[in-house]
Amino acid sequence: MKAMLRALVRNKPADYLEVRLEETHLTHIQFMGPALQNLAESVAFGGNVRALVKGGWGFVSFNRLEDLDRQVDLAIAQARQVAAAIESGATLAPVDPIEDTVPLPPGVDPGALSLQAKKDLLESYNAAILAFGPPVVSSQIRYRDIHSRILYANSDGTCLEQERLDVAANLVAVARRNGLTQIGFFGMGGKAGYGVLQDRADEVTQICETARDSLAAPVVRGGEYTVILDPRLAGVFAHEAFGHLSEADNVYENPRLGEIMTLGRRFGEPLLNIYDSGREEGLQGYLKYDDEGVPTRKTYLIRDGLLVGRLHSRETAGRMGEPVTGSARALDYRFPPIPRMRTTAIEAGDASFDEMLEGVELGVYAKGAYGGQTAGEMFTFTATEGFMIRGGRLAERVRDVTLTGNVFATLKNIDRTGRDYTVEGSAGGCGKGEQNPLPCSSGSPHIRIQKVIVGGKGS
Amino acid sequence: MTGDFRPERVLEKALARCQAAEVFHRRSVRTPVEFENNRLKQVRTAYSDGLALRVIAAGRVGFSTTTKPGDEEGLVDRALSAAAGGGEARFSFPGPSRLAVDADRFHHAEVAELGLAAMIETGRDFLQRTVAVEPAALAGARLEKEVREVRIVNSSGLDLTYRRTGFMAGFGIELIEGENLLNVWEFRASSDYPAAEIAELQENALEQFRLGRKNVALTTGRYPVILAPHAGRDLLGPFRDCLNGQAVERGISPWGNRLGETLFDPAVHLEDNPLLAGGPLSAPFDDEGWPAQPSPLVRAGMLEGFYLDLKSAAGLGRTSTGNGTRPGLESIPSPSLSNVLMAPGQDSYLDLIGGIKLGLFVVHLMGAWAGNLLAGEVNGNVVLGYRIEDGAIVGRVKDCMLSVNAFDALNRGLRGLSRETGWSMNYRLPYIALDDVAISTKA
Repeated sequence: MKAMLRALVRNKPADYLEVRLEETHLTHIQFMGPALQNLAESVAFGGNVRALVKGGWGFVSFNRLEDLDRQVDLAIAQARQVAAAIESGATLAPVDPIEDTVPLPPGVDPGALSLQAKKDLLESYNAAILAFGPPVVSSQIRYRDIHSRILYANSDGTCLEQERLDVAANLVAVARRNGLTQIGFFGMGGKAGYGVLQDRADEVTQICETARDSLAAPVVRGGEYTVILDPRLAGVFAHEAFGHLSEADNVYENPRLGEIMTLGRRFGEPLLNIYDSGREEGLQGYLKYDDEGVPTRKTYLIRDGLLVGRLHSRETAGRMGEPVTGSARALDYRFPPIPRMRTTAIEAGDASFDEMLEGVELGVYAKGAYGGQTAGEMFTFTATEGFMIRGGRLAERVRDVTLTGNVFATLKNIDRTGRDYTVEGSAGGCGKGEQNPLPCSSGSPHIRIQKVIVGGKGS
Repeated sequence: MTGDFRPERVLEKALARCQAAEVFHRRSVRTPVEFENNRLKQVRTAYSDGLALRVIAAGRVGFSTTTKPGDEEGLVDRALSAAAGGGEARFSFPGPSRLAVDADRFHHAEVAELGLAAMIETGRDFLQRTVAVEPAALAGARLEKEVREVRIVNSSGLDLTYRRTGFMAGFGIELIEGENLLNVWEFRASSDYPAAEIAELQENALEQFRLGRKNVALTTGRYPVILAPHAGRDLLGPFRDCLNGQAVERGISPWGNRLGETLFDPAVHLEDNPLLAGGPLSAPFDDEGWPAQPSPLVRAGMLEGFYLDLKSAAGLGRTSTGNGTRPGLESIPSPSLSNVLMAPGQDSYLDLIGGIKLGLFVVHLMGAWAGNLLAGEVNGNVVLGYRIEDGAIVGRVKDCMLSVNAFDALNRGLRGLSRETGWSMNYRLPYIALDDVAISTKA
């Protein structure tokens, strides 16, 4: 098969050509309350061809391997059509060709748990949520694992065979009283097998308590606050607030953003260090090679408060004359690779939690993450739990805490980074354009940020 | 062609080993044309072809999907082994029934035959118009067409096929001045080719761009607010989640036992209509083979109905409303809305603006999906919104959050609905004017 792919991309009338074939075995398990909503094992099989001709891209994806030559011709014809409409276009950063086979990490066995055993484990968590008792009235569990074998070859001589296993689940507890519904949420995920699912009884209890206690909590009052984020929410903050803006496809053809995002520019206090890495084994963001066959790196985005790097595809690196980072990722064979995050993290600092609380007369402690979103310089992220901080101490619980910020202002307002550090994943993943959800991880210590806008209609 | 999927053969194989089965076959060709940063970037063709099999064996449901040619035996094996541990089946597959429209009613030749050159030309037009307005702006566009064929066969004798087309046009502009980023975008999805609306869509994007050039402040407080259709879709997020038959069945919707009660302003009418001519999600039957039908959800403020698939309908002792949907081939059917229509009001949206002394006009919210929707709470960053002063838009308001309870907003808080409507994905909505909405901004 590899030889066939190599031959397919060789000596074709294109400046660059790549082909990817993929077979993925997926498991989906979903509980909605006591009912098992879905139990399924499925197969996704397909491939794509991507061609670059005189700066224009053509891309074809398919499920059938017959007529691969015809798919190559179509991708090239499309690329030509683009080239005819533009004066200049993509050039790729040069990389050394690589031939490699990447098996699953030692000890990771996709067959280690049968479908029934996976279901039994999740059912035990589901039963524990439902057994918590009133006001917890319902549950939701979504589990999926994705086991892929990917063959990849390009016209620069790279040829890779890779195997990946991504395992993830989200647990939700739903509490209801007097017409009000509140939920507790926890996500988990990893690339080191099924161990990430084990021993989550504490988290199950925690989400039930959060859902229960939030029912009695008032809605947070909107306004500008000093906030402390727990590591989970701070990880999502790093992802939304800075990770997306660091994806170089935002900036590579955007000279004005390029001026703002000049390497060496100060974005935060010297205590701030943010990186994105494909090399952290076991995490959902781990991958040895990206989907252009480029070895992944640990890429500092902010070091000592200064902008030092960004996340590149070969196209964005080529245009900007910067080193490749191995950040070009595709959700699967149906999509072309684009710059994406892998494991995005704020590095631990030296503050204790008590030191963070010090001096905060009125603030919000926000914990856990439902999710977030970014557009340009603005971002939002939503906590699963919130507490007021009054007079330097944690005070009453509040609910419905959504935070928003502006990347240029908010990063500079991070004035404490904690000495703890947690990294996690989830079954949610990251969305960009139509490619959603891509497995990513985010990590952080507790952090404190001044002047964050918290939404809320409470008074 | 050799190796083509044959749903009837899969059904036969499955029925040799279980009592009931359903095979869903979807084939499509999608062609996106993408412009970025003032130039054509990429042309794509995505062929997809796959099967989904749902079986009921010994009263339990099993499910599996495949896009691998020659995997039909494997598909049957996996579905049956899932059924061994699967959930209890309380529904049965529907038999043949009359469709309200021709099977190919939503297949439009003008989309199927739309040429790449024409799509490229439309995108290029927009780039040129943008650069003429502001040479420093970066314009993007996306034109996309799809032709899809769906077939469903099941053990109750159902054998249905339809073809439909899909079209999408999106136009965006970005301008950076100093550290100020302005992003505006408009998009429209349909099953036909909305030729007359494309120029209007481009004009709307350019108009948003002109309005957004000047930034003005707004202090934290409660204001009258007008939600344009895109932001209105976020306001309806809690309705989508609470009217979902699955949420009702699980007892987590606040409205499970409130059908027939007037919970909202009498001006509020909401309907799901999969038969709408040209609608982005129009189809003659749903993804479980149930005939498509309009479903009233809220009529004159009264809670009228939920939207259901086979499973949630059975759980509630009702019949499906034809909302059984597979978001992706690999998804098991669940209830989902098709074309959501909110009835317009009497006033022009300009009159709604004209009636506001100090308030906010919101075009796009961001992140509002992440709130506590089952409680009606909508919290979003106002990613594109304008200050209204003395009845006129005076400039863009940035760095602020809008927080509103959607249930209160469409009850006591409703100020008015415009007579104009606009599309936001599969929602067609009027401009929604609300009173007393919490806006949080920089101190």
